[in-house]
Amino acid sequence: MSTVIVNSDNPSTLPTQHGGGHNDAEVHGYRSTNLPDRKLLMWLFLASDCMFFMSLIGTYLVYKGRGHNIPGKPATEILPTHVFDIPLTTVSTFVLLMSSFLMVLALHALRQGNIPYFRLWTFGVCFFGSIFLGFQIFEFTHFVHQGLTLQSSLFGSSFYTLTGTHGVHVTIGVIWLASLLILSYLRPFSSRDALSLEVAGLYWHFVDIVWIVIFTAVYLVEFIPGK
Amino acid sequence: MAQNLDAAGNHESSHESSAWFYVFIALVLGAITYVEFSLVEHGDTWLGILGSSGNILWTLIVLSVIKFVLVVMFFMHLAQDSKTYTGFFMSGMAFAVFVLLGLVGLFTVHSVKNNSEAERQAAQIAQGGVGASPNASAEFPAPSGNTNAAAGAAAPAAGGSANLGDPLAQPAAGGEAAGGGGDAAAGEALFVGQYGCAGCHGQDATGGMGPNLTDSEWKYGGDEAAITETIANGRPGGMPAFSAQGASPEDVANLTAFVLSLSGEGKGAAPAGGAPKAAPAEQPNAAPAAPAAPPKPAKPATPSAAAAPPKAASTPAEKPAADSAKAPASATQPAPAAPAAQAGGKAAGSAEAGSEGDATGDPEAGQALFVGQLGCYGCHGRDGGGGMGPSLADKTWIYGGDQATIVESITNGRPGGMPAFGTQVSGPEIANVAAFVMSLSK
Repeated sequence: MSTVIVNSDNPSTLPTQHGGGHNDAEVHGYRSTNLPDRKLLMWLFLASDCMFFMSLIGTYLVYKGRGHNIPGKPATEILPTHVFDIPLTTVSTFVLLMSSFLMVLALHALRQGNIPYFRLWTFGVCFFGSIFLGFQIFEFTHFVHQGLTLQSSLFGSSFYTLTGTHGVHVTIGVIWLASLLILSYLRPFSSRDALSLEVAGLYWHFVDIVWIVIFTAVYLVEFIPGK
Repeated sequence: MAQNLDAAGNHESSHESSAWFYVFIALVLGAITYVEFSLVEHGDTWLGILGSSGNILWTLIVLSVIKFVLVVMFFMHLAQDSKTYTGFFMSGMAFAVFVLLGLVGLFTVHSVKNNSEAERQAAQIAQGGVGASPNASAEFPAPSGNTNAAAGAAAPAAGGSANLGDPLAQPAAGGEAAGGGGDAAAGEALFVGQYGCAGCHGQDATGGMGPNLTDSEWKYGGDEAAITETIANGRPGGMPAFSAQGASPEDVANLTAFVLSLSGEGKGAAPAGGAPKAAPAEQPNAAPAAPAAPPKPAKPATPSAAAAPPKAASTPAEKPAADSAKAPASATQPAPAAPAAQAGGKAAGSAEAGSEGDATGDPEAGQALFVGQLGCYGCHGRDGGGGMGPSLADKTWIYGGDQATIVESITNGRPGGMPAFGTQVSGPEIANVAAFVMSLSK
């Protein structure tokens, strides 16, 4: 593969179909990676987001087993095993995994120009993402009811910070995909828009894999028998 | 050139997987999630199959890594896409894993280092351990004169005979040995007295802001070395390092012996060590009097204390009481002096409250509670200058520095660690402590 590729004489085959990428290529005349800028940037962002989440997970793990006490309430210790509900979390994990699956189907459909299926699957992703958020809101409310708050203990602080940050990511993903869905009704959509959906999809899958790690590192390990 | 670009630009579509392939991946992901669920939900069955909980943990980790890789490779198309994306993502992941290992490693290395320090300390204790209790008593500090000394001594008797009653009330043969080299009785005196452990762990050590020490659950291990390490070097989450606060190895050994005795792991040594020191041996009347201490003014139990209440109509009257209490205290052990000081302090406090109401308290009586019974100084420092808890001697107030706010803080506690003392002491006594706290920043 050649390292310097002239784009300006072939604008129609540019990976970036609209937006700044095209003009950029014309101004500079060449691009060294031969890859769509937005997709590359998304991967770069995901790499940095990896570090962000890993520090939060690390913080949670480091504080694990310490400071479960509720100040002013003698002999009340809220342990993860007291509040976590594994069947419920398993269902919400499954929901998020399936939303990732629908995300792939939506991209597949859009690449083939199948707009109705693209809309159906994208709606499915938003719907499943919202169900996941609903589970999280239910879980948080339940925990707060039992006395676990952001301020109550180290466990509360690190748990809510970690899962809350993930919840914010899911919320952003739902809004992003929903706006693409709405956009498809406002202007003609075609396979040329696949890159926009693919970048949003990468973000969505990343949110899913972060949850895969959280599900194991935060929830499941608490219930390993004989520990 | 154009050919090249086209191939790159439409990379995805040329290697597009069929929808059924995605269905297959999704089914695998769902199945793995179910297996993960089953691993913990039917854990005992799996424990039989896999052998140990460690194997279950590793199985869970491997399964989640498989899910992670499947999504990244096939849903995010890294398997077919340009290797540049993989390079970007994997270098980010490598940094992230480095951050994770660094974080966990830093904490682990820290405790390993402390462990070796603990071993050194344990060796020191073994050398000079037995017979340490006289030292501990002799070292009992009295930074603010009579009131302090008496009040500091007050706590051991109140906590020891009243709240920790069962193991310690039985008069048994005096003995030094508990656990390893420490004297549990001397440790108890330090626990409720000098080091203010009771402030967090409770007067009866059943926990409060700090964990319960009387059960068999240990966060860092319940053996002697682990407890010594915890006391000497502290733990994350609030436990102060008492070596840094001037606790000698003897003190640490005594405290360790006492903590071991609480959970019945002191090899029965606690009753042996506790009773003779706690009082009856030298002051037969002291023990029965002490149980009345925390909720109500103590009954006069010793000749010196008996003299106190009538004189305690005003603040200065506490001094004579404390003075007279001091004599037996310094002559023998701190414990016997306790009821006297208790009576003196209480009487002064309630007399004050009676005459002037709750609005103002007696700072001196408050100080007695601060460094004594309530163990405030365990967190706030002996001079109120702060430690694990905030400084009370400066002009910075988290919740406000007026009388009403301080009384509220003491009575009902505050988030972040301040326990609610309203259930342990009466309103007038809280007013006294508040008055003392206010005097610190003046």
